Amino acid sequence: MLFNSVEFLIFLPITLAIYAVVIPATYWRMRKLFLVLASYYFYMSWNPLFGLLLAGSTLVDFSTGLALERTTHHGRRRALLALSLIFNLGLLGYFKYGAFVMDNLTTFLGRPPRAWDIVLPVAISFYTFESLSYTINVYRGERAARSLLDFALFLSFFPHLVAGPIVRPRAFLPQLPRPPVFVASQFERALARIAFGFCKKLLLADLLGQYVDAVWKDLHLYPALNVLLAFYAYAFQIYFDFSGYTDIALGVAQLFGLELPENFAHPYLARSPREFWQRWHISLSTWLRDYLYVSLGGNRISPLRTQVNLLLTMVLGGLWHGAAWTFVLWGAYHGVWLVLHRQIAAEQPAADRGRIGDGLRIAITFHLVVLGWVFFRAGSVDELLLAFSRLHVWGYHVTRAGSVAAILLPLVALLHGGPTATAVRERFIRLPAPLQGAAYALALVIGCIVAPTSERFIYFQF
Amino acid sequence: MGWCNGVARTALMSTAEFDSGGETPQPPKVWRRGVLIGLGFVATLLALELGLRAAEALRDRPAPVADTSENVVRVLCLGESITAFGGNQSYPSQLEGLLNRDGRGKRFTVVNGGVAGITTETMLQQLDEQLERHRPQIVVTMLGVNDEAFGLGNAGRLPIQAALHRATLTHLALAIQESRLKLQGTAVDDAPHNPIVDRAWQLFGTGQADEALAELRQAVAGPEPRAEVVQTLVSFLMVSSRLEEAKTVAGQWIAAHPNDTAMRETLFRIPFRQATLAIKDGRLDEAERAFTELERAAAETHPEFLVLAQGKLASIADIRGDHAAAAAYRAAAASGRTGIADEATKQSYRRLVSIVQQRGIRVVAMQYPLRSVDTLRELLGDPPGVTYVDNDATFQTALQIAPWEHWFNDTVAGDFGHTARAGSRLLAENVARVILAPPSAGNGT
Repeated sequence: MLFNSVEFLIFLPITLAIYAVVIPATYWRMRKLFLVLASYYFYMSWNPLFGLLLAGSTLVDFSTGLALERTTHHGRRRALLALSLIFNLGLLGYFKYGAFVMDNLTTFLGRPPRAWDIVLPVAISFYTFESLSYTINVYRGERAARSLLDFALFLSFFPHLVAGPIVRPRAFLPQLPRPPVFVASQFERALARIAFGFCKKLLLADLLGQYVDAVWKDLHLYPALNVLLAFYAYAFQIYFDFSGYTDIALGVAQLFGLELPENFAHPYLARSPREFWQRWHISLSTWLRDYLYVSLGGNRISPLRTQVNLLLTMVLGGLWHGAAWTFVLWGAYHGVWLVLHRQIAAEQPAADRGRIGDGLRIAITFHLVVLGWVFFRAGSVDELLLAFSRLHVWGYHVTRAGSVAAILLPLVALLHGGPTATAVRERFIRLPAPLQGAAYALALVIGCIVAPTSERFIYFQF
Repeated sequence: MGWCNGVARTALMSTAEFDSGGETPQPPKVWRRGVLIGLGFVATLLALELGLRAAEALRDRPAPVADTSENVVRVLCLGESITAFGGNQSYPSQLEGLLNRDGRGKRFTVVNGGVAGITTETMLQQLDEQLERHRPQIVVTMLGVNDEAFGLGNAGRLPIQAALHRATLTHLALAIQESRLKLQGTAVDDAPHNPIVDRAWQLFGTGQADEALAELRQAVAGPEPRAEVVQTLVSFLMVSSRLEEAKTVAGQWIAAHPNDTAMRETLFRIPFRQATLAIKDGRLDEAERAFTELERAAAETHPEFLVLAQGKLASIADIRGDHAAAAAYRAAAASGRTGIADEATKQSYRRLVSIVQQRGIRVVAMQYPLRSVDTLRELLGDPPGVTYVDNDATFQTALQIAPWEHWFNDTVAGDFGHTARAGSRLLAENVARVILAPPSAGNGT
């Protein structure tokens, strides 16, 4: 059930009505139980068997957490942590990387390829990471959750289930013991956030995506300027797609009175590769930092080891996005820039950072990131090489989708450099309520006319 | 209560409503604001709908184009390649001759408005221009088969438009649909073309099919052939009935590119074509076995082919004279026909008929050869004033007199093909009969 599907448009109001109206506020546990059931229904609408995986992850990590707290025996604690790691990473490995490993192994051994007929369950990359972070936190000394219901809701809550943000236990579980309070402004804030998210997705990301897809489908026929335009368009497509999705997720969660963490902060205004990762997919990059980078030793061992850890973290982070060499390359590419930046920053401490310097830094970082997205978009290494080879063929082929992208790009760039979306939304919800409704109606009509027949959210596949 | 002491909660907790017992789940203010937003939303949609209705009422009604003072009757034939192809042997050309021969003193001019490969949706887009240019008194339509071929997945209406329709905001829903079509179009093909494919089409179009095939074969045999070149070769091989070679080429491609779903579908089409040729040659038992097998396979892996297989089995039963069995297959096919392509065809075909009729132009809707006219009547919703042309019985009889090649050039649509000179003549005769029939004769079927 995608957020931009009809099923979801029916599912959401019904769920909200039962949650907020049918079940009285004093029955908070029942509301939570209902949310868990609704979330499982949401998830199992893809495939009923997926529910078992989610339930498995929930039970394993909930009981591991309790057991971890009960024992102080070092060996036993390590064994418990290993159990959770093996279970969660095993799930992820089997479903997500099985085919990839098999494929490369058979190629390496020179055997004929064998089919790996395993469906990749959506969301598995997200909830295994959430579940793991909980167990690692408890291992590191935090208190374990007492309520299985709360823990189940933490993992399954449908707004963040399929494509994040990757919620941390500490950011979500404390919201659950007592019922949230609905206030009018919060309702309007949630509604505005959802509507803005849909606009980002349907009007900006999908329109740009139409062109990007056309070019990548027939790369061998498009000349250099088309390919370059597609590179830039993709950078904004993926941003508006994912941040639009996140807006919807956060807005929907707010409708239920629950807060999810922010995931983006104007990523293309970053002045360094390091800052980019503090602004892009924040919930993933902080997860990688806290649980992968730090576990590898972080910066506590030696300068060389720090750099190796950084690179390794980024390569694995790349691989998290999908079982393909292009994602590994993309991760390594970002890893190399992080390492280089760290080296330069260490040698040349932050002295003079004027406005002009900042502008240049932003431009350089942006272009490095755009180049990285080419690795990310390519379906295979061959396609990646083909894309770069097309840059030698000078020329521009006029297409309608290309013109739309060329007009949209400067607009979205300005939008990105402008005031924060939060500020715009805050101003919007101060408008009289009927006016807000009118704006939604107009947006709906315009969206119906302009938006291409909708596509999937990019981040659902990871 | 291990997690009870979160800081994030404190801001929300401070609101008075919650502390005063928490009895009401949502303070009245939420409701009031929510209802006001909803009202603003609905009012805006209503205002747009009413505005559109008012604008339509105020706009001058187009003066009826049908001008009976002249003695010339202009007929416009809308259709795709079956209408367009054939030059002076096409059915519109032959129709003009027949009408002027039997027209009892009236003079007829027939315009061939056929566009090869066109879908109903694109035809709808070009309709106004066609009507302005040719100012016909009669429009003959034979449309829809390309919608099936192209599986018009994107052309269907958005679910939101359907919802608007149900809320009787019909003018708004239509305005959205029309603006979408104007803005996006459906058959815009401005992407760069593969020169090999372009050249092959050029050769094919000028009757040099063998040269086209030779060049394509060479390109496919070369290093790293592109998918569209292979696809073109397979299509050309299928059209020219070199089915074994088509199967080999497509099979080899699939073996190397297992994810190419388009080619997989093509590969599935080949046995269809083979079995269709068997019908044509009168090898009915063999064809029936093949289609029964294909029906089973389609049900498992390619549901989009199920209706096609059932349609073929119906045709076979018809040829054998077993009309009960044919009706059963057709009923099964009809129940399976709930696809998007059908819905899109229905929407745009109906809209097309109503626009033509609004201008005071007579609509003659023609069903394809060997297909039941009832399904066309159903597709159009049987609006008053439309007369139908039935080509089912005529062609069934015709096939008993002379072989397939006499009437058709190929089997492009599966159950019928591009009509040869004799086939176009049958179409023209049937249309002429309907056009010249006195109005009281009813639906001319």
